[in-house]
Amino acid sequence: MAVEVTVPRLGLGMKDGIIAEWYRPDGSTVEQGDPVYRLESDFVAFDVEAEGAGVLRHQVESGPARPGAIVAYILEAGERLPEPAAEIAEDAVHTFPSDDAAEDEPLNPFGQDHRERDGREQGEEGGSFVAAMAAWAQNKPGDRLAPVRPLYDVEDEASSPKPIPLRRVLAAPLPPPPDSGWDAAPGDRQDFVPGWDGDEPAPAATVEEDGDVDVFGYPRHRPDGQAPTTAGNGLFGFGEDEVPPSRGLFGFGGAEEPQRDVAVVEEAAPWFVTDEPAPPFEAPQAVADIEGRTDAWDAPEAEQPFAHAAPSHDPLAQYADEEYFERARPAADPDWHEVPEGGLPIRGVEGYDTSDIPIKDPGAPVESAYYLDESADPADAEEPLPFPGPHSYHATAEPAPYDAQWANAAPEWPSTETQTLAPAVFLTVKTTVAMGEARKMREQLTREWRGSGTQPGDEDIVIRAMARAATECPAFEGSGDAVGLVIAEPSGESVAVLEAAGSGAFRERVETLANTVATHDGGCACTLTSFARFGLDEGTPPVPDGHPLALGLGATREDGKATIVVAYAPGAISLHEAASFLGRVRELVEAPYALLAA
Amino acid sequence: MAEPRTISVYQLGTTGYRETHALQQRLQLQRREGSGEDSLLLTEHRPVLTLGRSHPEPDLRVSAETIATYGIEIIPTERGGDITYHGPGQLVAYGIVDLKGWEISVLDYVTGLEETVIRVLADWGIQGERQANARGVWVGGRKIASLGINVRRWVTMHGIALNVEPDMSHFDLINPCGMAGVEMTSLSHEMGKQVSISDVAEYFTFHFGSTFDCEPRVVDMNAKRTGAAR
Repeated sequence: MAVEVTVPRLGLGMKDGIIAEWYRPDGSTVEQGDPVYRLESDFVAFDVEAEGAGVLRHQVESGPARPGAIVAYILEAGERLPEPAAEIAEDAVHTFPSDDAAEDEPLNPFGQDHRERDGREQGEEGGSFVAAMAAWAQNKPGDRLAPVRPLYDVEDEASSPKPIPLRRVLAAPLPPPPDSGWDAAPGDRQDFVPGWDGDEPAPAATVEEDGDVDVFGYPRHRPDGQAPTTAGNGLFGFGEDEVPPSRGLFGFGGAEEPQRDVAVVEEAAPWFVTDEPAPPFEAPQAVADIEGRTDAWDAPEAEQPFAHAAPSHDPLAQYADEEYFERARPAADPDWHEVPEGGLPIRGVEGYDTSDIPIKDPGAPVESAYYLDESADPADAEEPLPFPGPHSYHATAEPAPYDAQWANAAPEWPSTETQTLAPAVFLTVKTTVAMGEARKMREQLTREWRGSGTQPGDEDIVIRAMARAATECPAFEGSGDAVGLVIAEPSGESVAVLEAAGSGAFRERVETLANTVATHDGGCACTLTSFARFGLDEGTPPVPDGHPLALGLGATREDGKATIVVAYAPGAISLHEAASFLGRVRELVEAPYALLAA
Repeated sequence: MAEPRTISVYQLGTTGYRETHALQQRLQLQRREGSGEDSLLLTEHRPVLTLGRSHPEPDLRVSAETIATYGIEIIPTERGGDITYHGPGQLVAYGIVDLKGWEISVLDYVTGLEETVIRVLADWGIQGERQANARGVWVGGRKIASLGINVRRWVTMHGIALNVEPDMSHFDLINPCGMAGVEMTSLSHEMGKQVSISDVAEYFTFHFGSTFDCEPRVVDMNAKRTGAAR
């Protein structure tokens, strides 16, 4: 039974609405709950969702629409449009594939291959998600997907078929379960562009935040209005209907495990949209080891990615259509990163010999960082970015038991240990701080300042403590006592700089910081990243270029304590200085009233 | 007798637009997946211009470069309506409400947001009005509160912004709501004296409860930070 898509009634006295935008083009495959179009009326934007799964068939163009009107149908496999509607569709929607499947282009993204494989006609059935996944699951790493025609412009002979505008499959997906959508394992990489015709932004196969794979992720808007991209957030592309993750924050675990694997996922995308030689690993499911741990280390040694990570040349590279990738680049997409000459500094890329990376004993804490090619200039590997921290795959270790709790704890994996290459190496020290006094002081100040609405936060107190500690630390000599607060947003990080953070009236500083607009320039002695804002217990802060260290503040736990992590660049500051700095910050935060003195 | 409606009220203090926006999206997602709860977020934003979905081109009175020199970002959003300004001194109320659960229509909700603001203004002795051709709340023909919402699966996000005592000069950068010649005003401007935004937030919470016949439960943000409260 065809599912109707109608214009919802927003209430009594509703003026006519406007179909402002079809989120999904005619003929696309939709799942139940996908946003189909946006109705606008009277300062209300209403995202109308699909109430069934199947192929979407528009009945009207964008424009005015009356409440209750049927504006589209969703057809299941083998279904036809209801009679009157079919005529309308024939007349009005002539640029779309008709229902005569035998002559028509398949709606499935896998084109000819799939049609031949199962010997059935694909015009209707091919839109099925499961069928598409089943076909796709037969692709192996290194495969190129078959050429397909553009989906929505079949009458234009010149435009179809296109010469293999497809990307290499880097990781074979799991076969789908027989009856439903497919829950991807975190870290699975979906990487191809079916039916892209070169003029629009490339459609993205995406692993949604909830773990569902949206194979047919047709160009959709991201919430920030930028072009869709596969390269934006961690390992996944995100559709407009999903929550944009703070980069990497939800990248791995999905909504159920928002705290999993927080630190290193960021910006991991570029190499799986590259046409550079393939990372030569054989175990396709081991991609989750971008963190260098978990699955990879649990696997038998032969399957571990580094055990056979000698660089190799992709035999398919000769087919690479460089022009395609040039064209495929969404214009002015800030999330698009060029693949540097010689590939990315990730395992298995030419120019780096990763074959001698020692395989650590699983379960043992790693004590030192890896930086495999000392001679390689990081500047060559990646365009300098204001924030090298999250763009790099730095290895950190927990080198010393500054914290009694840490020292006595059972060994566990450090939170951000990795085996990948990095343009810079940072180490971390961390401590636990009792936040009770700071909280009392905050509450008291909030009451005192009630009239102005100014509310100091833990960050304000820690920033002040950092500024004070910095003036006492030789490594900061000449850097002043400006401290930056890292503002982590879905689009990236920026820094709100507070000048003279350690001196002057505390209230004035709190207000100044609250009204400071974050920039990418920095210009401060050190920065604070608040993981408390994400409700996370701790995290390794990004260290901006040229800074000796950065501090990461976790959320205050139920026992009234919070974890502070200092990431530092061993070349720029000694362990002694970094540890002393952290110790001093802790002292000041635990007895915060001294910080109020101007 | 059905359970009384409740709404969790979060007083976020001063926030960046993007982080609160992401929070809203998360709450809306949870709500429409059937988990989560109806929430009211009260905040002031750092200076920012936001665009409604149907108006991707900012309706500016000055050049985009000038905006940039103010350090003000222009952010597209999924709400209805046109361009607007948010900044310190403006109380922004975002409701994440499952309208099906409350058994009210989208337009009831929008009208209720306006009604809430009109009641708040009345507490300060100011008469707020509606206009036939545009949403929002007006005082003597000047606009004091701007409105724009997004609804998906009958769960709302975005909401209404009431000018308490913002830097009014920032409104001169734009044609608010895409309407040329709209004059903006604020509560303190109408009163001729300073008004505490935290008082306004408190009154807003109260009137939101009475307008929608729901019980506001103010969440202790300190407890929230420690993870003690849910």
